[in-house]
Amino acid sequence: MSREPQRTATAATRRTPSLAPLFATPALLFVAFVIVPLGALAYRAAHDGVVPEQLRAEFVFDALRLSLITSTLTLVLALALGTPLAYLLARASFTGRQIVDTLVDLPMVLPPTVAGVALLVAFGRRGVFGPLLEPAGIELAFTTTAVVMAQLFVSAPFLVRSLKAGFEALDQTYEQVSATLGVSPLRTFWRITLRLSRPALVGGAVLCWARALSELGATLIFAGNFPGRTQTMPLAIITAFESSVGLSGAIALAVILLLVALALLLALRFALRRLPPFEL
Amino acid sequence: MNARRGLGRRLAGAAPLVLAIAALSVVAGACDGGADDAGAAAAALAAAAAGGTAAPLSGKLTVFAAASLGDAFRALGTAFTAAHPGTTVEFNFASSSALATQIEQAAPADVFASADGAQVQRLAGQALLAGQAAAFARNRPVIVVPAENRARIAAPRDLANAGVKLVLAAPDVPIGSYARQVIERLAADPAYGATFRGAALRNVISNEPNVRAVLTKVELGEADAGIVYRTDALLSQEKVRVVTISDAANVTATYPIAAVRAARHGDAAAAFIAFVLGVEGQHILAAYGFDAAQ
Repeated sequence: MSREPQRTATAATRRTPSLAPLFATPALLFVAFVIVPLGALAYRAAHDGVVPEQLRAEFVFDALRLSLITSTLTLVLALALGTPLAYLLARASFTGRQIVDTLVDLPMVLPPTVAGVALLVAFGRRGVFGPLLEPAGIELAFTTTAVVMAQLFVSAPFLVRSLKAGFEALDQTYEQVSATLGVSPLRTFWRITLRLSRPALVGGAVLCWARALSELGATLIFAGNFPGRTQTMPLAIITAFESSVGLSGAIALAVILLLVALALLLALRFALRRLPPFEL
Repeated sequence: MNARRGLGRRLAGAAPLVLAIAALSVVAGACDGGADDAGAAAAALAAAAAGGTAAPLSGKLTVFAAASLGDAFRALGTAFTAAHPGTTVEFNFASSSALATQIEQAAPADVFASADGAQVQRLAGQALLAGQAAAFARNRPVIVVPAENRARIAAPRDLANAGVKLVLAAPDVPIGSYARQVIERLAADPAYGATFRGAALRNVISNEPNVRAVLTKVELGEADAGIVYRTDALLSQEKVRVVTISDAANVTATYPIAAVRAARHGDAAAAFIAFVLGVEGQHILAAYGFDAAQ
């Protein structure tokens, strides 16, 4: 059984190196452009030796914990709500499909600050839904829930977009075979569609989670900035930058976030590669 | 297949990146020259102090000013450029602590106007300012509540009531520091009781980046109360109500102004500072509710 058709396609394109000398210069320039700032960050952090000291600060621990919890919750919610949406957008034909498709993309092109203002206008105390939520005792703005809502709004479209492309590109023969063998549609989706779309799922999930982890603008406006409750790592970094600790505090926090993100990214890739291949 | 047809386009796409990198290195080179102007700035300050304004001023002056100075300084800038037609003034408004961090990182500032002395001392300690800072205005923290005041806050003691959503600026932002000083001073009054300080601070739901962000959250009704400057409350009289803090418990915010040592327009910086301290500048500041420094 072929494991992943996408991987064989990648191998095929790797056999054409004729353009390599031509493309090497711009490619290397870009790699340098990414490495230089991150290298400078690591160098300054090592030089100042501030990371161990900052790691012991309570607000750093709180911010890191909050960032990990909220971004993971966001990913879970995005998977639960975004996967069915991506499937419908890829496979179903219904009126308004184009409109929904465009709407889902909108948060990706909007500045996050716009998302923050929009969420506040919708779910704030004086927002459109404020009069409905308040009698029920539900307050969203300035809570951890608001952090997750801000992250979900800006990051879920990355997952939906990636999964939709994956579902569209999929050879539907396996699904048809599964159906003719009498396997239920839901089981076919779970066992075949989703597993064959694994590269799109992994890519989308990583993008979605990373975007949630880096969310700043919408959170600052809709959820505010309070240690332990709504101050995620990006907010802690900007708070440190603007405080008398200045740049050195921001560097330490940035390096901590960088290392955690890198570790999680590697762990996720490793874990997902080790998943058993799909079988009929 | 497609790769060959798209080759020209892809190469064209790489050009902006090369240009951007080239531009970055030019900017970096230009920044290195900043320190050389320090001597010129000091000389210009001395000239201004002596009352010598031989040549007409010109150039684009960059003023880094505390967020609370926004409206007053925009008016000051207009009046200054009217008095010195060769000049233009650009402002960067943010919390004084954020501005100080930017100046530490060699942001192109000519003048720094801070809402507290701490940020000026922080820069002076690193020899980033030219000459002595001069106090040019004073201000008072006040409590603001949304016009409808649903949390029924009538006096400072109500800040500690259960369920009040209080918004302050971050502790390192001057107004955030003043606000916490006010809470400490209120708590020192036996009438407020031992639990006031803890209860009020527990009611803080957000540490905002600057005073105007605090005001906005109160204006929107998202916060039940906030602590801002009196001058900010004056700008928003239809949307917020002021709850005054007694003089005994309150603190005075004193605003210092100084030229930045690496200023590119040292003479214009000195002239702007003289303008702020002069009759016309003080008149504009008074119109926006600021008190004279002395």
